[in-house]
Amino acid sequence: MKKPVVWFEESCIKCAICAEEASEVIVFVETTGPQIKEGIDIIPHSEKIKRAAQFCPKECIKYHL
Amino acid sequence: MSIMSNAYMKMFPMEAEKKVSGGKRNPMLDVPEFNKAWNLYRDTSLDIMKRYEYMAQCVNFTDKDTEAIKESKDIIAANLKAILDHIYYEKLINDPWLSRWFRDDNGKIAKEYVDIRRARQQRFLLKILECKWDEEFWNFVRWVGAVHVPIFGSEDLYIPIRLNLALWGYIHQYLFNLFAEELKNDPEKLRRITTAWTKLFWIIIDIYHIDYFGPWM
Ligand code: HEM
Ligand code: SF4
Repeated sequence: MKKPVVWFEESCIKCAICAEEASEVIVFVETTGPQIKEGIDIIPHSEKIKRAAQFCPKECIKYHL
Repeated sequence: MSIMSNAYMKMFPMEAEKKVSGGKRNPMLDVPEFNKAWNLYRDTSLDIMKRYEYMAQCVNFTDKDTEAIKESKDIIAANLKAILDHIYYEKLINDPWLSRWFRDDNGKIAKEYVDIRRARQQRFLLKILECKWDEEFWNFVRWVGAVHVPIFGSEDLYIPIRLNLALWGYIHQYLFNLFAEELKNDPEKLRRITTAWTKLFWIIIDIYHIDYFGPWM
């Protein structure tokens, strides 16, 4: 099985919606945009990440979970 | 009495009447029917779910309407991008007043900002389409309304209520024209869907504006 991973593609418009929908795992950094919280185990937050991806206006949240 | 206070008393004659002390019990509350109404007033002011439930029964928004909203999902989903593009890239940025909030300091349309606003509007619509009328959803609707007044978050933002109503009205008719177009051959489905959305719009508009007014609204 592939290692679980989440990434944000370039088309991101920095709307911060993902960080609001999945605040437990995604943080929004003003200068660079969304990122996964450092050192966090993402698996327990899979559902939240998928939900955030659903609301992403650019469909740029990608994952293997 | 001065001329001014005389004039005032003429304008507001009730002010000249003997005042009842503030602590006096309102005798209306002794009448059970009025007591019931008072309890409803108080409960719907304090509890967002009670407010929703009360409004829902008033406009007769039932499970059948929820089913009809779900039936309309496919039509909205297939047209979501077009709806949002129209509202944001045509309506809002071209209107002489509405566009004021989407311009940079030089008066030019701030494209990146418009994109972000559009994304947030999309999330709002998607949340409505989930049809989960629970406390989390209604608090979200209330919060979206509240960000338009200097009460929470954007202290320097104030969107006059007539603009909200104008935009709600515009979105309402735009959606209904879309439904009418898509359901030309199924008038019964069109009736179900437009009836359900009309009811839902009124309830949402009420909750959205909670923070525009004092609780007596
Ligand atoms: C149909 C009525 C309206 C709806 C449904 C609506 C929806 C929204 C939503 C969903 C948000 C964002 C909340 C969030 O951060 O996710 C928002 C914020 C905002 N809306 Fe509206 N809105 C309406 C009317 C208006 C009008 C009439 C204007 C002015 C022309 C306006 C200007 C703004 C602005 C400037 C913000 C930004 C606040 C910020 O930058 O944080 N809205 N609105
Ligand atoms: S929701 Fe999508 S577009 Fe918005 S900040 Fe997150 S990744 Fe970027």
